[in-house]
Amino acid sequence: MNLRVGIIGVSQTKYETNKSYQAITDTVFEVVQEAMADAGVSREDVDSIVTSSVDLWDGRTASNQMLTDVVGAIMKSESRVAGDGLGATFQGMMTILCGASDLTLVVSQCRGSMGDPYGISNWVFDPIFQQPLGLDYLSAAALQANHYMKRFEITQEDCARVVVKNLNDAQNNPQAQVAKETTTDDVMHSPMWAYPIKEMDAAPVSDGACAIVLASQKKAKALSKNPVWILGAGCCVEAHYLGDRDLTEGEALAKASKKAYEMAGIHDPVKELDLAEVSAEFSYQELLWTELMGFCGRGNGIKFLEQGMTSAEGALPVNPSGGMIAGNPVTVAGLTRLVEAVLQVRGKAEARQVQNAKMALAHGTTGCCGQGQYVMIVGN
Amino acid sequence: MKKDNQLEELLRIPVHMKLHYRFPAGTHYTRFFREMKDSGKIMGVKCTQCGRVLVPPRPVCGECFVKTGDWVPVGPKGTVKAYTSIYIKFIDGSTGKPRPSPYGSGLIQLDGAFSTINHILEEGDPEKLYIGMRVEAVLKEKREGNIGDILFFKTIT
Amino acid sequence: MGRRTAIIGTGQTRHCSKREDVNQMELVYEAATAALKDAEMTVKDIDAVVLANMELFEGRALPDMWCGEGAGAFMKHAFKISTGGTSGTSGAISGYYHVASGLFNTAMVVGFEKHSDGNTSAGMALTDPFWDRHIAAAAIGNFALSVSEYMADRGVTEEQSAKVAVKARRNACNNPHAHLQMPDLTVKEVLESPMLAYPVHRLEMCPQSDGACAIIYAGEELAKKKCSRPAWVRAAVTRHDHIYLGEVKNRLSTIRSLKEAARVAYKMVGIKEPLKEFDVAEIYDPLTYAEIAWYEALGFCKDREGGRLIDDGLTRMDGELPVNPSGGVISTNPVGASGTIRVAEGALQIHGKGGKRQVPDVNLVLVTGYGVYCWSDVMILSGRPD
Repeated sequence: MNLRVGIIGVSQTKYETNKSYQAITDTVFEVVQEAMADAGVSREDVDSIVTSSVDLWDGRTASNQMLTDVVGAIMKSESRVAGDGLGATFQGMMTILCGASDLTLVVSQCRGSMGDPYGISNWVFDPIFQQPLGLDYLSAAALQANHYMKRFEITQEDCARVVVKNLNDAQNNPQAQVAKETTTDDVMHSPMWAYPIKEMDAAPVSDGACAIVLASQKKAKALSKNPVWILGAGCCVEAHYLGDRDLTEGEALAKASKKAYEMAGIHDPVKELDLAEVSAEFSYQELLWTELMGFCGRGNGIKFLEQGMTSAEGALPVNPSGGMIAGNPVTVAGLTRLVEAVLQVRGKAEARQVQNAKMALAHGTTGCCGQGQYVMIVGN
Repeated sequence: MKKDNQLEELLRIPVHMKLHYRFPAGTHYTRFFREMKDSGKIMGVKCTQCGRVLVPPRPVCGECFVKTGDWVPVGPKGTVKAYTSIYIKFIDGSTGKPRPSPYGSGLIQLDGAFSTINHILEEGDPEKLYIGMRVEAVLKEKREGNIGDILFFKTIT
Repeated sequence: MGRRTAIIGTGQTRHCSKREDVNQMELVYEAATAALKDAEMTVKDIDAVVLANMELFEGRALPDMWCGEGAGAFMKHAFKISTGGTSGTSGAISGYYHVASGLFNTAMVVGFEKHSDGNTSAGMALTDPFWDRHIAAAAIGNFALSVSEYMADRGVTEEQSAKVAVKARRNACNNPHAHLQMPDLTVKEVLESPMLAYPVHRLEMCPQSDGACAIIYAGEELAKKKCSRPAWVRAAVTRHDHIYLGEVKNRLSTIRSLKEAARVAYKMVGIKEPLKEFDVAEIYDPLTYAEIAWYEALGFCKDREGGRLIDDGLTRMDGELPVNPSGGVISTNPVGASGTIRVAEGALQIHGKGGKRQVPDVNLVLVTGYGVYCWSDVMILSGRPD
């Protein structure tokens, strides 16, 4: 990129099992105002808005309609990416890079509690071959988990260690929904959902929202003393039919991260990145994704974790926030990871702050078993 | 495109959608529906900046991008600002069944409100409907706390 | 501004009420391959894919995951834009951003809708769960309400509305992709067609179609190499307005979002007299009355003069500014594709590939998208990059 896009304001809600005490519009208005306040801008300064949401999760058609007022889009430009919040960030970034906007607000919201998240995920699968089989994100992930674990001789206890790390670290994150002292025994004794995935291996159902303010290089410098820059970004989608894929490989993530590294000039992610916030809805995915993003060799995700490399004090902390295991507002997840990455790079991550964090990776995913992958590198 | 007889041979796979949602109404819709249920009053909310009285009430005035303020009673009388008579079958989203047609539908500006609301008119004959006609909300006897508590708007003189 | 970007290829399916010979992904594939053929490219030449549709009409979540493969999204950057009726134009604008931002050399946008796969009227009814869902009669009811206001405010007549329908369905006969082609339609037949919602008759309203439309963007260097007459994007503007029908008076007359988007776009290109300066307009006309209202909002004429434009034939194929040579949305309406079709038809006119619907010597084209009165997109395409 010749010109960089800056992130000058961020905000996220606390992630909760159920926010039904608030209308969606109230929640979104809160994060939007907080992100604008964080950026020191008002609605008049914002040129365009990008939202992310999915109709079926919102239970209404063209569901961004309900947000027009509260994202300040009256007589402004708004577009919606129907997918992960990190996808909306891509759209926002391009809006600025092509000169159509100097200041873009990106907003993502989802209420997992409102419907039946796994039931809805069945409607992601093609209606002819896969949907009638009753596949959903959980059962499909269980297929992927078994294949991955068999191939690399990973045990259920290994996966439980991911949960232990995340839930323990989440205690440092005031926004986390699930945060507690956890042992591998706790995870191993939690109810089996879809072999080998147990209740505690899976992200909870969450409600939440995030907003960020993106700015052109010029505007970011003018408005912010310490903007965080998007240094690299990659997105890639692979095959839809599970049978077309080797679920233990993840070419989309490998390609998306490679592109982001190239743009950011990263040769050795472990040395150069200070932390990674990774969208892993199930414990095994954190291991698989870290391998595919080149943090360690194939099958070594668990060794990398056992060596403490991904712990909050490790060489490359992964999910010091607790990740999705600590809170999973479905389509918001990728934007949550980006907000956490920005807070870290700013040095404002409080108790979960990684020492001297200067460059961070935020990862988002969409579809089933990581079919669509987003990687963004941010730094100061 | 294939020929018709070839099309006949192709399979159609039926998939039925049954999903359940619980929509959080939030503070404003909750109060609006409660007031209507308990006291039969229709309430609007006033923007603290532009002063417009908005119905349905909402937490944020999109025009001014500020929280709305005081609650004010509006209606139950109002003026038809736009009208139509619906002839074709439409699915009533609340019942999932088509509504009997034709029926009158209007944008009604309740007395004291800035915005109009979309609702059903007692009068369904387009020849008898006109912009500016006066109407009044007819509420259900046994109200449940949803928009169906307003049955329709009857014509008044 | 970003780098110069042009549309170098377009492709459409045959649009009709039921495409039972293909599934959604295959429908997307049909449009995508047609666009690749038109641009003389292969799928390898495409760097990024944007899909656009209204997912709930087919009851899908993340349909880009399944249908993306039909657009060649496999192992590429891809996502889906969904903004109601404007999905197709918003997707087209997103595709433009992809290339103009400098991040991608090429991008393909595919708008699609397969109404016959789902239940569109149920999908339309799933609006605000607390309010509209119980009482609104979906799009047609809302349109009809606005028409009553518009007729009272601007004095447009039923005959003028019917003339728009006649013009559109006759133009559609020149478009091999169009859904409703009616060469002999008369004003009388339009007004005698069944009443949907007073005063809107069936033949004044858009149909529901199955169809997909693809466009291919390229950056300046490649566009000049690959295309003898690229359709350069000169402006791409979106404006949104209040979603509650009752919060804006006289929706059709005022249509703030369209007026403002057009004002900004005209300023970017220096348009002062749109009726004279544009060679073709492809505008999103969900029903006949809207087309007349958009004439006024887009500054083709003064307020109250929209009906006269139709009476005088100024927007016919042989008029001063042919509007919707394709037959428009009232002839063909696969919703998620309807906006993309406007952009493709606009580009086609610049490419000089309009066949029987080609307007001579097209240089400057106006394209609009529309969604439930709240959303408007305006694009200006030109045969010249600046």
